Amino acid sequence: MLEINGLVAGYGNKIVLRDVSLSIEKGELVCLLGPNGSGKTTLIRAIGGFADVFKGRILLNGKPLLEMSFKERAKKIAVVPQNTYVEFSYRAYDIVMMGRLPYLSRFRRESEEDREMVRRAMEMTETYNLRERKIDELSGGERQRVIIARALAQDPEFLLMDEPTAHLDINYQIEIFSLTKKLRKSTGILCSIHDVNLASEFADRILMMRDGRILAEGSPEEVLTEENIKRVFKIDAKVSKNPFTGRIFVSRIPKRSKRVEKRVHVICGGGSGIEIIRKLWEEGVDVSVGVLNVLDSDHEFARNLNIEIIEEAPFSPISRERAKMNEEMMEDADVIVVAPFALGKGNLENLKSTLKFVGKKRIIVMDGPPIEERDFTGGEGKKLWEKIREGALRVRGVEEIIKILEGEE
Amino acid sequence: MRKIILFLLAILLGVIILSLLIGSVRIPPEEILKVLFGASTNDNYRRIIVEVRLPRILMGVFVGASLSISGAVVQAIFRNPMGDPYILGISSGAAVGAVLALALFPGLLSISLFAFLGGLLAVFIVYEIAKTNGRVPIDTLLLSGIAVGSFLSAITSVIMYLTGNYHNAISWLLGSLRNPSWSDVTVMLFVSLFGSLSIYFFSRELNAMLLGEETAVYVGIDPEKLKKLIMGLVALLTAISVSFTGIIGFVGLVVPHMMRRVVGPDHTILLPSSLLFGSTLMVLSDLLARNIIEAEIPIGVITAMFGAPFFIYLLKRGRF
Amino acid sequence: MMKMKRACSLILVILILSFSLSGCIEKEREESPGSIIVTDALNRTVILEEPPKRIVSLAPSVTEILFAIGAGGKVVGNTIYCDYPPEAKNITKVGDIAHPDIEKILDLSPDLVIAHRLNDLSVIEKLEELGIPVIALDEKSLEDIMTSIMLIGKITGYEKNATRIVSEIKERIDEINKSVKKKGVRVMVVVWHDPIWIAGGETFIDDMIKISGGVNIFEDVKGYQIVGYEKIISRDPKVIIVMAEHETGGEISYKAILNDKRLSSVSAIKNGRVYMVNADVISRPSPRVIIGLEEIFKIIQEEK
Repeated sequence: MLEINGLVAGYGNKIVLRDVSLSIEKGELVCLLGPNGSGKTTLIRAIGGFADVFKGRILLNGKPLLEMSFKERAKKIAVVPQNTYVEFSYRAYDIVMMGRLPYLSRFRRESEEDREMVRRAMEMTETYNLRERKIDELSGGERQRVIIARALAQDPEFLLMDEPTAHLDINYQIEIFSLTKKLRKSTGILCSIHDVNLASEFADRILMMRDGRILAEGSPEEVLTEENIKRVFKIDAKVSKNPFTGRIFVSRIPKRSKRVEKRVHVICGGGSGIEIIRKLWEEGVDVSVGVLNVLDSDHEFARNLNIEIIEEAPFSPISRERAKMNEEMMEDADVIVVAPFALGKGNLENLKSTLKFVGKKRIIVMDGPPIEERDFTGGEGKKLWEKIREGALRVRGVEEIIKILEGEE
Repeated sequence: MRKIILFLLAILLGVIILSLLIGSVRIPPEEILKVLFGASTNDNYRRIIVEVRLPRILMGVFVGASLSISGAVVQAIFRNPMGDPYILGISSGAAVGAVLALALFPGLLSISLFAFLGGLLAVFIVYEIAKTNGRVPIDTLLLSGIAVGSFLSAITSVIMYLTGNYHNAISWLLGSLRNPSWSDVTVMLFVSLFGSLSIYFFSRELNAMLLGEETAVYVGIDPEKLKKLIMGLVALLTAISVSFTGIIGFVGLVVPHMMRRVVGPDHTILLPSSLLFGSTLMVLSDLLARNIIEAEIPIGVITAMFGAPFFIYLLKRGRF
Repeated sequence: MMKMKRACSLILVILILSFSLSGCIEKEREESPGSIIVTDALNRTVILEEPPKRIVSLAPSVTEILFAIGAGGKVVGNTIYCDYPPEAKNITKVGDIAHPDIEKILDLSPDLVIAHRLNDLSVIEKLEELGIPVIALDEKSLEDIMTSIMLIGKITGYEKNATRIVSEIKERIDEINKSVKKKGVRVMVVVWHDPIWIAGGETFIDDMIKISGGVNIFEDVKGYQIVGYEKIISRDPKVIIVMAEHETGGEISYKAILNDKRLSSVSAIKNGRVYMVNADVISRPSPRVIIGLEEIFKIIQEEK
């Protein structure tokens, strides 16, 4: 067990951590959650030996860690630092072998056991096939796995990771965390992270930090409350359950101002409307959308903002009935906005409805990819769209729409 | 990788043999062989080969080795491609020692001793100035080295001005393998052997240091201790080299870069190959310095002619 | 031609003086019969069992002294700068002054090497190590030059001749002392013009100025140093003597000083008292300094 009591730590004469206490059991994945500058990195460095400890105790299985030599410590605790970029062309294998440094005698070569540990660590992280590659030529995800392998080669009791996914694409993020979860079988893991939902998905326990202190501690369900998130991150959030994982899911609630009092109906689909809907909503516009299929990303987004939606069953073409409801909505709106969505047989109805209002209502068409690239109706959609465009204002971005709305007041 | 070491060793031997053969006095190769096997009857040939050429070549080997290996480890612990064994102020300190010795004791032996002590003292001052809160941050060390170096260079000039003895001082500052005695060579052999071997045993730690001090700590290295130790060894190697030969530039700076391109950053290979290639370059430079024109060209001029263009090439390639 | 004349007159003077002064010779104090013991400028004691037969000279001034005392025939090696007397040019060269070539010296199998403070000290050290007798010279005054001549005379066994030359130099100095009319003439001796290097105190040039009735305006500066224009202008030399490298491009410094607008307010320039002197006779610590001294004396005492 790793136990920390009343830890005050920082660098030189600067205090970053103020009175931090926590404990981690073997087999546990604990996530440190907090905004930038909250002290996550310093906590990890203090345990790893890179930050200065001014006060407090760190006990490893009851033994004081701070009294151990650097070597002894490195046998018990391994750290994956935040920046793992290596500017020198070492082989991946050599990097992982550096994890054996605390075990190697200065005057002796690496033993069979060392090579075995390195092989195992690389297999566990699926990097053994990369062993002859140069570290500076690997992708971000590959490199991160090699660095984790280096930490594993230290055969540590506890593994500390500082934002292991900070600079990675989403697919790598999931990959690294799935790996991390696997590793927890043999070690206790303390992992700092600033993505609330990744923490919720993978952590056994979460510690929330702010200003060098731990503000909340417990299971994701206990810790990830709307109040805690407001206290730590200073944002309004909505806590729900991720329908796929059953884990707590936190979404940020955008701030809304009541500035532009207009009714706007947005014709969109496939994510083309998200940006438009969000900006209009934030400016206080009374937004409605239609017709959208349930499960369409625009639909998901609009639903979360509690916006009025004319919806159709998933993956079904728009029925006449729904189109009519849509036209009623347009009738009520001050302005109709057409997003650059992809045209298919199923949603052509939306353009036909819009065409009826050309000349009667203010219509705004937003530019996007060329119409030829998003028309999958064999030309019919393109014709309709061009007719609408002739009777409409054309804009390039949402900002322009807002200006037009403001100008009409 | 073994092959590269053997290859470099072969080149070094080749250059040594060439240097034994070529000199201002023409000696037939068979006479040289006779001398080496103790069968020569010509006392002058024996003295030229055994007392002049051989010690000078060996001095070149050991000084080249010491400067190159020092440059390689300085670049590693500073993680800075401009790393040079002189960066710690050793050369400036040694220069002060040398001109002081020339001013105070016009005798002979004291120059090397004073230069050596001056070099060590300069490193000590640089280190103490850079120390903050018990640590020695690399950047501070670098800047402190530059500042102390400039200050000591100014002192050197002042001493030279006050004593008016430019000839010997400048001749010393320019650097030359000179005409070492066998006792000089023996001292140099033991110091460079001790220093290089000691450094070599820290190859793995140096590899880890290249990944940054933070990572080094996490794999069980005490970076402050390591820096102190390595700097001590570098100071020893560089100060002894400078004390015998004056300031010979570019070898310590460029050789590690050249070798890093060939063998990569792994110090277990980089250090021995830098050592061998540094020796080769030094002996070759001295061969040219002695034989291009009737008089002797300062060897620093030759090494700069090799080194500077290569450094510019590295600069243009944007990769060190 | 000028040089030849001077050389001839020098030899003539030496000859005459050596005859007239043959009486006053110091007695040699030898520790053991046959062996020669001397102490050189680096305070090293050197013992020779018998006078040397094969001498290598490592400085032009040394070569000149050797020839002047009559030991020229024993010189088997000298430096590429040894050009006086002309016979010196044909002797085997062992490199330049700063780094003479040890190999070549060894190859000549010398039984004495006469080095100079201008040589890299390691050369002396190495020769000593190789068991070759070596003495080193260093001159900061006219007195030192005479000491060097005596030293070389003693170690080569030409002490009588050396004594004669030294006495002649002393005599000549006395004569100049007697004929000095003007005193306290402010003099600057320029070695090079860009930047301006001058001969300061603790040089034999400084001695020459003093003897000739002048005052070196840079007496407070030790050795050969760079000085600034402000100092030159404020110290206002009445006479400027510019060293001219004999043969090639000798006039560069002279012309530069004459035409330097920054110096146009200096008395020496306004009054046309800028002179050129052959560098060899005032910068080489050899018997020829008396020629240099004579010239400087003439220059300083000149009425204008």
